[in-house]
Amino acid sequence: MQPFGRKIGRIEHKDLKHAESADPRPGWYIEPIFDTAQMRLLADGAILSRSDSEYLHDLIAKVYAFAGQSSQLSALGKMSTPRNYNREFLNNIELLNDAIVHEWAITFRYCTYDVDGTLVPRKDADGNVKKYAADPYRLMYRNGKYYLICHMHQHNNLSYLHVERFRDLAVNESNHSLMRTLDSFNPEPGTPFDWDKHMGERPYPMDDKAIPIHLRIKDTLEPIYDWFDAAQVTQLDKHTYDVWITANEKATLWWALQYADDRIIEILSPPSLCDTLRGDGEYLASLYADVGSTGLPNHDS
Amino acid sequence: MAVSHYAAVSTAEIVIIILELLDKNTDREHGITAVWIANQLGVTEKTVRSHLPYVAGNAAIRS
Repeated sequence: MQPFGRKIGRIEHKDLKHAESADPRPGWYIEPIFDTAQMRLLADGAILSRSDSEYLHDLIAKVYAFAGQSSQLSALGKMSTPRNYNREFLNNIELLNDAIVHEWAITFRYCTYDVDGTLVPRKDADGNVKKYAADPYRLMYRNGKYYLICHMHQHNNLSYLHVERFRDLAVNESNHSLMRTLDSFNPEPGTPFDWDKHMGERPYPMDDKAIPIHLRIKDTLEPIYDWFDAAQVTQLDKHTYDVWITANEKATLWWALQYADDRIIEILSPPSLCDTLRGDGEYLASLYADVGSTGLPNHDS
Repeated sequence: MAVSHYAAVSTAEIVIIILELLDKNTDREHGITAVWIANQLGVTEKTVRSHLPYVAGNAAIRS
């Protein structure tokens, strides 16, 4: 008998020789559904969703109970619901999951933020709330944000939408067939869409193709391998590394700018990325040119 | 869960209660003894031991 696939057995004194807990004890036991690592992965993943605090607490308590670690629950501390939490968030996840699994197109309104941080639907130039239609392909966390990767019918590329900003999400009952399949966005036709490769080439989720990018970095490889698993690195001297990555240009611009303060990264190619960085540098130099004398950025330039 | 006076409880119910006790009180480094289970159930240790084969499978039973 293994109820719900869980082994039941006996712990003997000899089994506890290397026990990690402070108060191990022999006797009958039932194997937990989750081990400790699984428990933490699930609980921390749930916390990442920034969902309703009460709902999260119940969910995490279940995970801890299934790992036989309910006594550790208090160590998690207090969770709070985000101030502008979208009450449709959990329903949206269920609906998006079904739409992805069954390959249904969706309709929705998409929110932006009001001045006080309240989520409000996007409007067109005439003040009418915009309604969107999309083919949903995948839900995914990236850089702490929860995205739906989809094809919005008004565009010809992939879009990355924040799940917490959906309102009035629905599946069209009469016609919910996809306009485009995911594979139609594959840069290598005839092969299945490779999510790992696609996201690995985008340190920030954004469309446009990935291109070879050549750069040099000094003293550390952490900014490289933290973000680009497939980087090709050659050490030039004690302090300098030559690096090739394949990545989306705009996403790489954002990635490089975050390390500008450290002055360790130099983009060598493509020239278009170097031009953009130079332009951004000139803009910042101009914006802050007079800070020394006035204490404020120069907004007239 | 502390339950007492189990004189009329069926084997199936005792098996389920033992499973609940195991689920709530054990992990890979913390076991519970037949005596402790018996005290929780309000039955004799012998009763618990006679039900453990249903819970764990005969091969797992040791004294």
